[in-house]
This record gives sequence, structure tokens and C-alpha cells, in this order.
Amino acid sequence: MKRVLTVLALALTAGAMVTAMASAMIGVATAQERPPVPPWSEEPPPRVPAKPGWTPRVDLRWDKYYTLDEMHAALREVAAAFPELVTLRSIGTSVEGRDLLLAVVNDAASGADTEKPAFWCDGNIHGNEVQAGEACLYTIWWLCENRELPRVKRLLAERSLYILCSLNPDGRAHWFDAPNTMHSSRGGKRPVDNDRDGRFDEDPPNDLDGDGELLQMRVADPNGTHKSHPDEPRLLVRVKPGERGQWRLLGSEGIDDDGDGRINEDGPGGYDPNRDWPSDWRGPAEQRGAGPYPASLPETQAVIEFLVAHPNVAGVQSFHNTGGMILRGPGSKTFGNYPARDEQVMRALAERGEQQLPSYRSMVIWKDLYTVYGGEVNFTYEMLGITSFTNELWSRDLYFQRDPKSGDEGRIERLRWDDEVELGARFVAWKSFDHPQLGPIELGGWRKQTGRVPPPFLLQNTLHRNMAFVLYHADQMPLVAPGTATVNALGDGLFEIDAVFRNERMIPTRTQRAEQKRIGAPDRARVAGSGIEVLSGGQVNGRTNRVDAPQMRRPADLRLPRGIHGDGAVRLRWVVRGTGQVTITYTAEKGGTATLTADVK
Amino acid sequence: MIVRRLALSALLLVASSALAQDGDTPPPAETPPAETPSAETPPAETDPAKADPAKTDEAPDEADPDKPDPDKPAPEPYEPYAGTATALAEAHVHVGLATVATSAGGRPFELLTITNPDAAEPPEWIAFVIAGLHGRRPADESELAVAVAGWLADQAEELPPEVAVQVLADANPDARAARHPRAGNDTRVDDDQDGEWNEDGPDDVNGDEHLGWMRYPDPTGQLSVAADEAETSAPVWAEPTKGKPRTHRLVPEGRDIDDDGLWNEDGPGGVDLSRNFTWRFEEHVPATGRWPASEVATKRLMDHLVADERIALVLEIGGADTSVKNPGSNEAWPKLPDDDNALLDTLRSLLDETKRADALKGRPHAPGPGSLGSTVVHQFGRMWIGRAPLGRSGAVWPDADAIWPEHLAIRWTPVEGAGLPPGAEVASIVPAVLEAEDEPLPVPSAASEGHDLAAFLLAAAKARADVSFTGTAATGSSGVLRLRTKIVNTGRLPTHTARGAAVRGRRPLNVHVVLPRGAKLLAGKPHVQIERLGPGAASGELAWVISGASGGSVRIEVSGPDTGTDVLVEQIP
Ligand SMILES: [Zn+2]
Repeated sequence: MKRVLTVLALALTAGAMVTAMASAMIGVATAQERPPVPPWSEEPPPRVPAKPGWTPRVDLRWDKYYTLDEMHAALREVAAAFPELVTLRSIGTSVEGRDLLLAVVNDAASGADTEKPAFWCDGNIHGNEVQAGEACLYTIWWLCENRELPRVKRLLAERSLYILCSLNPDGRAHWFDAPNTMHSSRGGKRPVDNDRDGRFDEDPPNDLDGDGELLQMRVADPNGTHKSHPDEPRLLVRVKPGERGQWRLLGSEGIDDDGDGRINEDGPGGYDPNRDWPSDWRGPAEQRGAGPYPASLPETQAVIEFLVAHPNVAGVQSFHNTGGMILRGPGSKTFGNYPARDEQVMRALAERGEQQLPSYRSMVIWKDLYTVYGGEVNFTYEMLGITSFTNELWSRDLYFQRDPKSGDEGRIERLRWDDEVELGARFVAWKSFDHPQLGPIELGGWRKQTGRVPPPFLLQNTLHRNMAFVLYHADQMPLVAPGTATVNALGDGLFEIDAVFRNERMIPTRTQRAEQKRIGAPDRARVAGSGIEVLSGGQVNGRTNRVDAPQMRRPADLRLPRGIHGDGAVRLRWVVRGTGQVTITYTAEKGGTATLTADVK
Repeated sequence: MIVRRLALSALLLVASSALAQDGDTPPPAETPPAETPSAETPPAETDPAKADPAKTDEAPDEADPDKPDPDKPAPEPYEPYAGTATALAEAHVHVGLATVATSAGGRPFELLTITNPDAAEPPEWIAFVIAGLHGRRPADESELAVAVAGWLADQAEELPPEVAVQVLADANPDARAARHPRAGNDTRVDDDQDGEWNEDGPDDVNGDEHLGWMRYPDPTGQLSVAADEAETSAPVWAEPTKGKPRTHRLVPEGRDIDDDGLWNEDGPGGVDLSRNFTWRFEEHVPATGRWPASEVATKRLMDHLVADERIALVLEIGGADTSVKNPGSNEAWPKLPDDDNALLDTLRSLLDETKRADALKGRPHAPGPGSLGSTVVHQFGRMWIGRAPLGRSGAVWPDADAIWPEHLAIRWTPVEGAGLPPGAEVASIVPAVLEAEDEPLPVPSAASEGHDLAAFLLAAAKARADVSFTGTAATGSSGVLRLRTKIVNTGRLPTHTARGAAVRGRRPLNVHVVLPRGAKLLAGKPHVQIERLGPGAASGELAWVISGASGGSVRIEVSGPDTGTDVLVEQIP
């Protein structure tokens, strides 16, 4: 750094030519002093992971979507094959009694999961957003199969991961098992009286033709609201004033089950589990999909209980679909922006994510998407003080080569993609059908496994890149390391002990939010030794080299609510009487523990 | 004990039938069977207060109002509400008692249900009375609630047969059992957020088996004590700019256990349930709870309301009083639709308030953030009335905003000892004596206040929305029925609140056409929804044409959560 400053000084005093030369020199000097930082490690690049002929211990396919049962079976297979790395536990059950099956990924030989800074990752809180589950399953599997890669080895030694593949097992099971569109089965299975007639879930959609898909219904009608697009007859477009209609749209496939004159008006569930989290929560009067109070669902309650019982969780990722987004809070403008230091850290993480996930954009939920009250990652950051992201997996930007077109043009391109790339696997051509209540109609439209989920042949690409973002975030969780301990004799039998502890990563041991709202336990630094009496203790102000605010109560056990900033350090100072060996222990709830020793003499 | 348990089981059967739900509605969140351990072993049995007969002699339905005697030593400031609900249920066949839920501390929420003795069907409209949410004042509130139940039990034949009144007299049994003067529910809260829990709580300094309040000289304190202060007087809050200098600090009775110069900065007390509800919950304030409805009691109470849509009116006996004046709008209580303010006026007109207007002058009356009242009104869209008791602990103390009732005073007694600040004095609340008058001011009794509220509930039950068919015309020829009708609300109250309609918190009126076998609906909708009918309002015309099944009966059913069901039957010619 000194060298750079000298060169700069030269540049200021010299002419234009010298400036140009100096710039070149700065480039060289900087490159020598600060080697490029690889994405999530300071270690040398890894060796090639997979040798030709490499076979995994557990042979899972990544070009298919797993039903809930298949997913749980795969998890059990992985856990059985890697008992030293994966343990499974049910942290609760869903509305319909399905397990919330959590994978604890941890190199147990290097310490218990609860003793390391931990990362929480979940998926599929929205039942239809299925690849979010595969992203979790893939992460568990890939870490196990690649456990010998130096970076993976180190990560699993330093960190543990809590991965819940499906936070909404009922929604996932129902999406696969029952007729659904790509958008339905988003919520869970607690009955809701959607049409306010006093009956619950009494008129669901129906798979009339028994093809396992929930298609759209239309009927030919010269006074209808829609017509076929002139360039693409499969596409229906709204008629303009003065135009003649061809079709009347009748909504999703179904009948009037309860005889009230309406079709599909009260299907299964009818709430949003991602509006059930107790931060910035609003009731159904103000937030669609909310329950009567936050954590009203057993799934939410189970996850909250787990997170509260695991204050070592220092990073959170929630996987959803769709839109290619790396989202962070706030979910609404209720409380203004997040504190500046936290916002900087989360933005920096998300910017790496944009690199790792082509076409994904870093966004703030309420500003760039829409207002969400009671969202999960808002809760984990705002109430628990954890850096948190939601990724929206897959985006229409990832279909054809060129920029996606919007409106009808975009819809025509989607049909062409199905024709040209998936060879018609996703769109069901309109066909006539004799409806028991409506008479002759037509059925057709998109199958559920498209649009919001990638085509199977692109699935692994989505999964791996999103895993990479998780591992990068997990690696940047705080990690406390010992610095130096020095002892100065002050005379009269008094000694001054200085101890420096560092946080080696980007995320602070205490987020600014945690500090401001007094969330969780403050960091603690304790000095202990049999022969000494601690008279004073406190944190050293780096500018003045003084302890400005000594802690008067329990000076041997310092509380440090501000923690250690990302890539930062703290210097602590105690004045003691007596001599002997002392141990100095720094503990951060989310950053681990580090110890220094010193001889006081 | 065995006899008592048998009696209780019989009553629980009555209560659970009263709580039974209509077909499709899910059952209430928790209706444990009669023989649950919590019903068997009420914690009150182990409560020393309960064992002391001197503390249970104030039966709520006692005819004589309290006659305070200034010469007698002041009675216990917080009369424990002690098992009187059980006694009431045992004395009346038409009063049910059920444990609807269990608190965090394992204590039962005892719900009394009063119905007309002649009622044959389950009720279709329920008024829910709740008291004692705020842990600091449960005694008077619970006592008043039991008094309301007692008066209603005595006049139960006045209740319309389709109406029930539920009374949850003690909504915070854990606080009552803990007997501490804090707002909370006795769960673990790190009030000073130093990572340790309850390390410095209150202590019974003067050995009166009661944890009260304590003051000591402190020029930065909240109180202003004049040198010539009367032996008993109302607390005076410091206002240095108005000639009331700060002289004393007010703290819960206790010692400085952790030697940090603070008294009871982190004691047991837990979460204030009256601030733990969901509407405009205050986040990151330790006393309000970790998050909205974080407490078991809050959740179970909300479950009870959600599970039973027949609960149309909530009467909360607590700190907020809306029985004299409508709450002004604020952050926690946004402006209500005009129709709902008119509704509150109607409800208030059912109360005789001439006596109370003066006593309540200046008392806080708007429900605060996270309160039951604001949640019931603004989130659920149901009717709610708040009522503060005027009895001894009716004083909202020690809140600076509260106006001290004229008829109460505080007596300060010096205390000294280790861990106590110099000059410490412990408070007890006693009836006031005005020097200019001969007689002490009468303290309104739970019995007289309860009588007024029981009368209000009877009046509200009679005023409830009542829908019927009007202007019905049935014509037609053989095999065809042409039917038209309107639906009118003849009650003094609307079918539900305007807020309830706006937030979809209440169901609309649902009109269903039920045809006889073989009949067909040729025209008209099989299901019609009418969002809301105000008092005296009628729907637009409803019309149907039905064919087939000559001689069969067509049923038109209209139902709503506040109205029950009404049926029109017409024959197909
Ligand atoms: Zn989603």
C-alpha cells in the first residue's frame, strides 16, 4: 500500500505521460500485492473433481423431478452412503402429517454441527416450486460425492449445513399426485373457505379427461372475449373493441362440484406459507394468503423452533421459482432500508451471485418485486439477525438465445421452444371434450412441468449454479480466529493484557440489525487464570489506543454487542493483578470460538 | 373432591354441546375431554391465596356492595379470583364450564357458557366476555367477569334461546398464580437483553406475601412527592416544567440482587398478553413478546375466536374503555367506516352510562397496538367493546398516562434492609377519604358493575341482526314455480361490521336454493351472496324459476355468522 501511495504522489507532480506510466505501474504493484481472490476461498484452485469413469457412491439423476417420496428415498440413500457426513432428522410434521425431513450436513469428525457456524437452506415452501427441492437435494449429494475436494473438505470442517428440501411436503406431494397447473398447489393443505360460503375446499379443480394434467377450458363463441392469434392459432388473445371474438375462456379444467353455479371456486388450501413468518407480519386484511397469526402453520412453527434453538445459524437461503432473482429484504417499506453495513454485505454477496448465476438479478423484494409482509427471509434477517436470500430459480431469459420477447410475441416464442427444442412435450393441443355440465367444450394448454421449472435437460445447470451461491454464502459466514496476545508489565504488580481476535470472512459476527435490535447474545471475551485478579477490561479504540468505555461489571467477561465486522478485528485489553498463565476465549454465537493464551509475568 | 369432579364432568358435557360446531366448520382448536389432567388438578388448588379463606370471601354474586371502612387495615390490593367460576357452574345447570385451552404454565383456561335454560338447539350467536389479560390487574377484572356471569346465570331465561354468552374470567392464569405486579404471563423474557434471564426479579420486601410497588428518593425518578404529602394520596407523576420536580423513582418491590444499582430491571413477568396480539404489534419491545402471538395463551385465544365464527361480539374487561366514547383514530386504531362508528354508538346506547361518565373522564379508552381489541375489530372485523372496571385495581397503575380514580389512594410504608435503597417505601392501594367529606368515597363493587354489564349483554343479544324473508311472491302453474323474495335485517345491529366485510373477516349472507328430488332450476342463481345488511336494510330482489317435482317443497336458506339461519319453504304447484 505504501508503494502505491508513493507512485500516486509521483503521478500528481508529473505530467500526463508520467501519469500514464504511473497508472501502468499501479496496476503491476497492486497485482503483486493483492492476488486475485477466488470466489469463495483463499486457497489454490481445486483439482479436477471428476476423473473419467468417475462413479458416484449414490447414482442420482438430475434430469428429472422427484416426487416427495422419491426425494425422501434419495435423501435416505445419501445419508446411508455417507453416514460420516449426513444425518437426517424430522423437525416436525406438516398439516397432513408428512415429515419435515432435515439433512444435517457436517463433517462430524471435526466437531458437532452445533459448535460450528451453520448455514440454513430450504426449498419448496411453495409446493409447486419443485426444483427448489432438487436444488437442496443436489447440494447435499454433491457435497458428499465431492467431499475430497480441498475447498469442500475445508468448508465441511469449518461449517455445518442444515438443509430442508421441502418446507411444504403436502404442497409438493399434492402437486405431483393431483391435477395441477404450474401455478397451483402453491400453498399447503389446511382447508380454507375461499368463497366464504361456510364450507371448506368443497369445489376443487377436476381432471376431466383423466390425462393427469389440469388444462384450460374454452368454448367456441362468436361473442366471446378471445380469438386465436393470427400467426399462432394455439395462442388465444383478447379481442379489441370492434373485433369479433371466437372463444370464451372457462378457466381451469373442472366441474361445479357443490352445485352453487360456480366452477373450482374453493380448491385445496388457499393460503401462502411464505406470508406466515413473524416479522413485519400483516393479517389477511392487509396481506393476501396470511393466516390468523404468524407461525399459524405447523411447518412454519417447526422451522422457527429449530432456528431459535440453533443460534449458530449465520446464513439463510430459501429456494423458490421463478424469474431468475437473488432477492433480499426488506419485504415492505414499513421500517425503511436495512442498516447500511448489512445492506453492503448482502449486496456484495448477491453481486457474486449474479456472476455465478447468469441472467439472475440481485433485487430488493419490495422495491424491485412487490411488497411481502411476513416473508421467511425477512423473518430470518429482521428477527434473527441472519444474512438471508431468496433465489427465484429459472427464468424465461434462459430459453432461447436472444432476449426474451414480452407479450404475445414472447408467448409465441414459448410455443416455438416447445416445438423446436422439446419437440412438443409440454403443450397439449386443444381438443374437444363433452363437459358434463357445460356441454361440448375444448381442453388444451400447458402441462404443469414447464414455465416455472426448467426443461429437465437444463435442470442440473440450475441446481449446480444455485448450490455454488449457497456454498459461497456459507463460506462467507463469520469465522473468528485468534490474533495475538501480548502482556505489558505496568509496575506495582499490575499487568496489561492485549488480545486481538479476527473475523476472517465477509459477514460480521453480529449483523448491524442484531446489534441495533439486541437480537441474540452479544459476543463474549473471557480472560481466565488461576493466579490473577481482573481489575478492568474493555475494547480498545483503535484510533486512540485507549479503552474508552471499560466494562465495570464482570470485567473478566466482556460483552461485545457489536461483535467483529466482516474481515475485521477487535483488540481487547484487561488490567490484572497477579501472575500466571491466562486463557482468553472469544465466543461469537454465529462465528465460532477462538482461544489465545498468554503468560502474565 | 370426587363429588366435585363428577359435577364438573356433567357440566363439561353441557359446555361442549354448547361449543359444538355446524357440519363443515372445523371444531374449536382445543376441546379436551372432561377428564383432562388440567381440569382435574386446577393450579388454584396449590395457590396459597386459594387456601386462605379470608381471600375468597368476596363472592362475585354477593348482594351487598363493598362497604370500605377507613379504620380497618387496607385489604389485599389484588383480590385473587379464586375458583369462583367452578362454584358458579356447580350452582346452575344452564352454566357450563370447560377448559378450552391450557396456558404456557399448564393452567386451564376456564370458559363459562351461559344459555337460556330452555334452549334446545346449539346457539347461533355468541357474546364472548374476557377479563384479566393484563397480568397486573387480573383480580378486579376477573372478579367483575365472574359477577357478569353470575348476574346472567340468574337472569338466563331473559337470554334469547339462540344466544350464548361465554365468559373467560381469567385470561392469564399464570400471572395470577405468580402473584407479581407485572403485566406479563410469567414466561422467560430477557428484559434488559444482557443474555441472562430474570437475574434480578422482585422480592416480597415487607413480608406481606404480596409483590407490590416501591419508591425511593431519586432526583431522576418518575414520581413527584411533596414534603407535605398526605398519608394516603394518589400518585403524582413528575412534570419538572410544571412545578412537579422529580423526587422519587418507582420500581417493583424488590432488592438489587445482582448489585448493578438497578432494582428489578430483569424480573419474572414475561410477555404482556394484552400487547401480544397481532394487529400493529410492536416489534423488538421485550414486554410485547418475541413476535405477534408468540405466546401460547394468545394463540389459543385467537384459535378460539377463529374456530367459532358465531362469536360476534367480544366484551373485554381490561384497560381500554370504549363504553363512554368511541376511540379516536391512531396508528393502532385506524379510522373505522362510518357504519361501524354508528354501530359502536348503538352498542353504547344499550349501556346506562350516566354514572360512569364522570369516573372515566380522561381515562385511556383506545385499545393499543397488539391489543385484543384492535385485533378483533381491525383484523377479524367483529364487534368489540372495552370496559375498565372501577374497582380497586381498576386504576391503570403505574402508568403515567392513567388518570387516578378519585375513590382510590395509596398508602406508603417505609422499609429498610440489605439491597434496598435508602428511604424505600412500599405501596398499598386503599380506598380514598376526602378530607372535606365525612364519608370515604364508595368503591364501585364488582357486583354493581357486573349488573350493568349483564344488562348490556342481554340488550345486545336482543338487538342482534335478524334476517328474514320479505315481499315474497310465489306464482306459477302446474310443475313450474316462479319465486321472488328479498331478505331484510330487522335487528338493531348490522349482519356484521363494515370492517368485517371490507377485510373479508366475516362471511357474507349466503343464500342457497335447495330443490326437491327431480326438480330443476330453470333460471336464477343456486347460490347468492349478500355482503352485508345494515339495521333495517333489505337486499335486492332474488328470483328463481323452478320446474318439475310438482307438489315438492323448495327451500331457500339464508345464513350468516351473526344471524344464524332462516328458511323459506314454497311448494311447486
Ligand atoms: Zn415461491
